[in-house]
Amino acid sequence: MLIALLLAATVSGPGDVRSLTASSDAVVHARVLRRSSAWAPGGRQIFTTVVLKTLETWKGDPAAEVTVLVPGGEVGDITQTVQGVAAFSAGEEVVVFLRRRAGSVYGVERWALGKFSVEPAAAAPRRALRDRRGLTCQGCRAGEADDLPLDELRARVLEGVIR
Amino acid sequence: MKRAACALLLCLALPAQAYVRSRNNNGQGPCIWWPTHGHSFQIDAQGSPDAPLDATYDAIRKSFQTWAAVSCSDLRFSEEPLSTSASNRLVGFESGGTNHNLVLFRTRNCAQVVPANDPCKAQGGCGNAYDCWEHGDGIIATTTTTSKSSTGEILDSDIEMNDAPPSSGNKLTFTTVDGLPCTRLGETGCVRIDVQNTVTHEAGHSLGLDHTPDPGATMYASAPSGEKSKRVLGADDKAGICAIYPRGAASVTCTSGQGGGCSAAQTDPGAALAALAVLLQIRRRSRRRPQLPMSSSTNPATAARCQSGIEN
Repeated sequence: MLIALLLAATVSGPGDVRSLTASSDAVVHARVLRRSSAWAPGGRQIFTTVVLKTLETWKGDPAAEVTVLVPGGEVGDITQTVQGVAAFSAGEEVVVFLRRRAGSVYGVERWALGKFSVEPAAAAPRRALRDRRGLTCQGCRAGEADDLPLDELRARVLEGVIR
Repeated sequence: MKRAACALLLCLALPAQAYVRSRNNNGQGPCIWWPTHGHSFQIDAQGSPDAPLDATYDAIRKSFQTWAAVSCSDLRFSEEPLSTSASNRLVGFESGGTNHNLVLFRTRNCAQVVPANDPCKAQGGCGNAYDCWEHGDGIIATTTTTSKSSTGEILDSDIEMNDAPPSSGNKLTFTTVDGLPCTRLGETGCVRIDVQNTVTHEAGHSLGLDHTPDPGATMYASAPSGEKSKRVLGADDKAGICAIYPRGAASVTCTSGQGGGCSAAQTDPGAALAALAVLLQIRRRSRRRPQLPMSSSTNPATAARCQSGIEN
C-alpha cells in the first residue's frame, strides 16, 4: 500500500531577513549535493536528510558539508509530503537559515521561511526566491521580501550578523 | 459523454471560487480525501497550560463543529474519550497499528530535553520519543495527515501545537478568550494565539484543503497576531469542503498529474451532480466574505482546484 503523509504548518513571524538572521544558528549559501529519506527511530514519521556543500558561510561556523533534516520524504512505497517545510532538490543552489539540532545536523529555521532558492547563474543579477505558500504565518509583515537579488540578501544577512 | 456534458454545464454555472485542494506526492499525486464524511478525533487531556482545560477542549471541539455545520456537506466528527495516557502522545501513522486523530500540545522543547547523542537528533522523531516539540521556536502548529499515495485516501490526521518553552525569546501563548488582540507582553484577558482559530485552520488541512488566495477564508495562509476570524468559515471554505464532501454523495477525489479533474470516490455521477447542485444553492446563500476569481491559486505545484469538473 502506498501511503503519503502530509503536514501543514503554522509559523510565527516576522519572516524578514534580519529576524531570520537573528534567530538562526548559521546561514549558508550552498548547493544541494544529495538527499535521502528514512523512517525516524520509532517509526510513524519520515524525515529527509539533505546534504549541502557550503559555498559561503554568512553566519555561524558550519562545516564544509552541512546536513539538514526536514520532516517528510519517501521510503519505499510510502511517501510523506510536508506542506510548509523547505523543499530541496539535488543540484539546487540555496541560501538557508539553519537551526542546530546536533553537531553538524541542522533544521531549517521556520521551515519554508528560512530557505531561498538561488536562480541559475545565467540570470543576472542573480535573484534569491522564497516560496512560503505552504505556510500559514501569524505575525508576518507586509513587505517581507520573497524575491530579491542574491547580493542584497547577502548584504542584509551580513548586516544582521554585524549588529 | 453525458457525464462530461453535465460536468461542463455545471462548470459554466458554478460561481467563481478560489479554494485549493491538497495533493500528495509533492503535488503530483491525487488530492487527499477521507472516504467518510468526517472522522473521529481525540483530544489529549493535558491540553495547554496556557488556558483553562475545559476552555481548550471546547475550543478544539468547536473547531471541528464549525466544519460539521456547513450545510451543503454532511461532515460528522465523533469525539473519542480524552486521551490520558502519556504513552499515546504520538504523532504520525503506524501501519497495522491503532491510530487516533490526535490533537495535542507539546509542552517541552526537544532542544532542551533530548540528550545530544540521541539518534533522533540527527534522524528525527524526537517529538514522539521524548514527548517534546522538535520543529523549532517559530513553528506554531503542524497537521500530519496520512494518506494512500495511489488514491489520496486519508488514513489518519494529527494536530500538534507548540506550547513548549523556546530556546530563546518569548514562549508562544495559546488563548481561548474572546477579547481583543494583545498589544504588550504580560497583558492578560486578550488574544494571542487563539486555539480555535488555529485548530479550525489546521482541521481544514486535515480534511484535504490547501491554502486559498481568498484573504477572507479560514484557509488563507496569513494571520495577524491575535486573530480570531478564522474561527468562522468563509464562503470559499464552504465551497471547498462541499466540493470534496458533498451532502448525500460520495467524497470527491481528483486525479494525479497537473490537471484538476475530479471524480466521485465511488463512481456515482448522479450523486456527484446532486451534490454540486447543493453546492450551487449554498454558494448563493453564503456571501459573507469576498470572492476571488477562479484563476487565483496560491500553490499550483502542490494543489488542485476540483470544482470545475466531476470526472476525469
